Amino acid sequence: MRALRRIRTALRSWLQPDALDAEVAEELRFHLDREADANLEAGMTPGEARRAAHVTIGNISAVREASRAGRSGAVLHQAARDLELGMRLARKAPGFAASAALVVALGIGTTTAIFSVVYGVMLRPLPYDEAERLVALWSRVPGASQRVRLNAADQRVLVASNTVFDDIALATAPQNFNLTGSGEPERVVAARLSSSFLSVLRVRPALGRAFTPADEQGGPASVVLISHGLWKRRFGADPAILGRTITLSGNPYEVIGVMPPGFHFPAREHELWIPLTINPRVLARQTANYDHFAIARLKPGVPLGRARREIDGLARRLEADFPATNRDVRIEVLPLLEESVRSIRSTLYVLLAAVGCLLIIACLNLAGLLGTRAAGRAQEFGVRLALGASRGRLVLQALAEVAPMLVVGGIAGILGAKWAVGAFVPFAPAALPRADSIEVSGSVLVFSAIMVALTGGAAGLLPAMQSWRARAPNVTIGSRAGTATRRHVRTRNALVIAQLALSLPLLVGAAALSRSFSGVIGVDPGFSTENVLSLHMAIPRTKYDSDERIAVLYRQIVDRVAAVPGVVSAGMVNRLPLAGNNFVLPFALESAPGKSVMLQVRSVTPDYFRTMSIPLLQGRTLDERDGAMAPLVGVVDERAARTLWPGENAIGKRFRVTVPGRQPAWGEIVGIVPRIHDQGLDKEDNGQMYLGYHQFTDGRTALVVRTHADAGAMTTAVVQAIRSVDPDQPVYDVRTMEDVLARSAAERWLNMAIIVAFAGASLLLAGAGLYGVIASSVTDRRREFGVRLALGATRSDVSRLVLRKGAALAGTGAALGLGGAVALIRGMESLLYGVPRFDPVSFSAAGALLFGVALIASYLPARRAALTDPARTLRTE
Amino acid sequence: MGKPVDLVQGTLDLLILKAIAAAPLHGWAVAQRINQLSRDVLRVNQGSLYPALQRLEREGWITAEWGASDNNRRARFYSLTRAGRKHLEREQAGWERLSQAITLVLRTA
Repeated sequence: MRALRRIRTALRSWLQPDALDAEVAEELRFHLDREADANLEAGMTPGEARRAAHVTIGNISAVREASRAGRSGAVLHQAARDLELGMRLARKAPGFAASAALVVALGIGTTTAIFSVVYGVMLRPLPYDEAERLVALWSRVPGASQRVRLNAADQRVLVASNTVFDDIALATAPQNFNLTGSGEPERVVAARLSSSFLSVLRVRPALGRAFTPADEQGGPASVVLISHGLWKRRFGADPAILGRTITLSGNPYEVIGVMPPGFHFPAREHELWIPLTINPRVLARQTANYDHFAIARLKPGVPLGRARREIDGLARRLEADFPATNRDVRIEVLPLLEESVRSIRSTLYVLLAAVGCLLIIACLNLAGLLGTRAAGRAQEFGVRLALGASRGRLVLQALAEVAPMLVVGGIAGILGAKWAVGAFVPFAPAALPRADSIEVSGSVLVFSAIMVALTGGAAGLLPAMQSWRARAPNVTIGSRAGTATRRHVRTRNALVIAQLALSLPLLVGAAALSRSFSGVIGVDPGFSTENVLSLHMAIPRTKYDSDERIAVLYRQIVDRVAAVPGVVSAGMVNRLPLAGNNFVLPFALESAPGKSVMLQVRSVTPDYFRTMSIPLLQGRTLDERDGAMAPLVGVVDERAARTLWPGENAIGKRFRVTVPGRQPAWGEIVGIVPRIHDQGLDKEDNGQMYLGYHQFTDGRTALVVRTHADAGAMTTAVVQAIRSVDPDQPVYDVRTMEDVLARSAAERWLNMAIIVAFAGASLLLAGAGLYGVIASSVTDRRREFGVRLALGATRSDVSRLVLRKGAALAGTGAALGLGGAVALIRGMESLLYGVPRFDPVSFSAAGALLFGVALIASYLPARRAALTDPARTLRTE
Repeated sequence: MGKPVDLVQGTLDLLILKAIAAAPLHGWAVAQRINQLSRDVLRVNQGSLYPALQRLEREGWITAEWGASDNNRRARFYSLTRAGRKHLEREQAGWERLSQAITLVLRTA
């Protein structure tokens, strides 16, 4: 009730100040009249009565003012008037207002965009109910440098004996299926989920039902859940989809449900989910299998630390119970969110630091702009102070005047960021997890609004301080208006030095990343990408049920494609280089008994080397002689050859390997090829072992096709040739090798582009700030220059004086920025390639750039200084 | 009658509330009443009366209504709200304790 009344009075005084003023006036008039009446009754004459009444009441307008200031709406009312004044000032100096708004837009826009990415990827809760209780479980096994997934046998024990989790669910991914029937054959990526998986995530199908434990046992019919996207794309959002049978890699699956639109687990590409069936031999610990992605939901109120301790204890108990399989095996518990963004975190921190630098530069730049203007109005403030304005009022007004530029600049920046983020997300590099949760969301807007307020507060502080310090006695009529005091000059110099200092880290970072990028794309991949087309195929084992049949299919496809006019040669490899896939197997060497080495293994058709232009260094390549029944032979790359058999000829050396689906066998090296960059231009691997496609047959393959001319144009003809062999065979990820190569460096390119853009923007801002300071110092020193010229200084003396000042500011800035540059470079070490941490080239390039810009910014004012007419300046003073 | 005494800071609110506790009064009458009740010792300065009235109104202790005065002119009458009455009781009790305490100190010291 009371609160309501208060709001009403506040609103009234805000909305109808005039009506309130009138009421107060009437009340005071009434008071005056009554006082006069009382005086009359006391026997005064009417004139005396009135005068005496006036005397007792005192200053009526002061009473009115006091009552006005006491109203709660008064502050708002005043602020509105200040804002109005701000708008008027902005209209009066549109150039100034526009540049200030532009600076704000630049700072806020870049910050908002980067924060959207950081928030979407790292901070935004996963799209599951009480996602903070979700964790992932990983194993550490001896001999592996990285964490591995969970063993299903361990999961069974943990589920039975832990007290900290609601449940622990398993998944495996990805698995390729060829979806056929109704329309083009299509390759679809699936994940296998244990029946408890969706309940741990607390996700329910939008249509139909989830998996039950019975589905896990591999019931009479296979069942599948499909994604919302697939349902709409392939089945026209048909509500009668439930119970329908679809053909996946030649087998019938019954659709039991459609997942909700936002469900992409474990990644966006997954569109099918089928029940996870666990090999009984794994459960019986006859074979160790760390293949299962495990998630769990913490019981309410259980802290992560307790779960970690308990799971660690259980892992030790497993070690004691099953020493054969679980020796030194540890199990780790990580928050699900943290674990899904681990790879990208350092990159995002670097971007955040960079954008922070840029925002601070924008802030300082704005402060410089506002400070210059406020200095010009020192006299006005002095006069107002002398006339009785309170300092608080002046400060508030100074802040309110900044508001229009902040609002306009802030909105423009946020809109720009929204546009940029929208344009970026579809092209986000594959390495960026959770790209689809990146948007300028409500939380991001709140953050941006706070940043706008902080920017305004920080930048407006300087002019506010100046009005606070304005001193009335300083004002003398006719003093040289617009001349900055020494304190103002010092402040402005400091602002510019800070901007230059903050630009240096960005410049050094940009230089180092550019050098890294050009280093990476300059790396010879070891094969030729020109005029080579690549595509992928997943061969269903259900349709081609033996290695022999798959090998026959491969041979038919390669022959058919090679016969297409315009094709030079065609070959196959089970994992395409630079496409982000790997396949490793342990090899035992005859020369080093008891030891095994992990090598990348590739299954290739004979023409693969020719198609990729990988030359033969020694021995022979693989061919049709190396059939399924022939002795196992391998071609090794020279790096592996050197490290495995140092100082010896690798040809004829023997190795032992267990190729999937076959018995362990001894093989012999028959050829050596140069090493290629397989895992990335900036990455080295242990080396590769190539086996013939008859001797190691993989159900997944990439076809590479060398053409006479533009490889991309041959896509249709190549796909037709494949379909002529099997009309139901889908292909996916069709790209020229040049595209594959470019994509492998895309993330690096993006990092570089962002930092270079930030560095450019910072240089622009700092340069403009420097120009402003130098230009106004030239204006201030006009008289000094006139005197110097009159006393015989040459014009180049004068311009050198100005240039030297610019250089001094830049030098101080660069020196101060060195520490920041070192810190930033240290933070982005993981992003560098082929560039030492304290790369002299990057540092000196950045320094040179900074000085170059400083000289350009000082050149125009310097020329103006040199052109000072001594006679005129002396006369006007 | 001695020189009018300046009001102790904060006591004006208490006096205004007390003055209108019996019946709604307009501003001039509030000043008169305080003057009368204090036997001409306390004189309320108009410059502080109206801001104080508005402050009390904003606090919700009093409400104001336009009405006709005894000489039939439009005047703003202030009356106590329920919250204001409670506030007055509290303040009055506080004041009495304070003044007793002060008196006690002054007498014994």
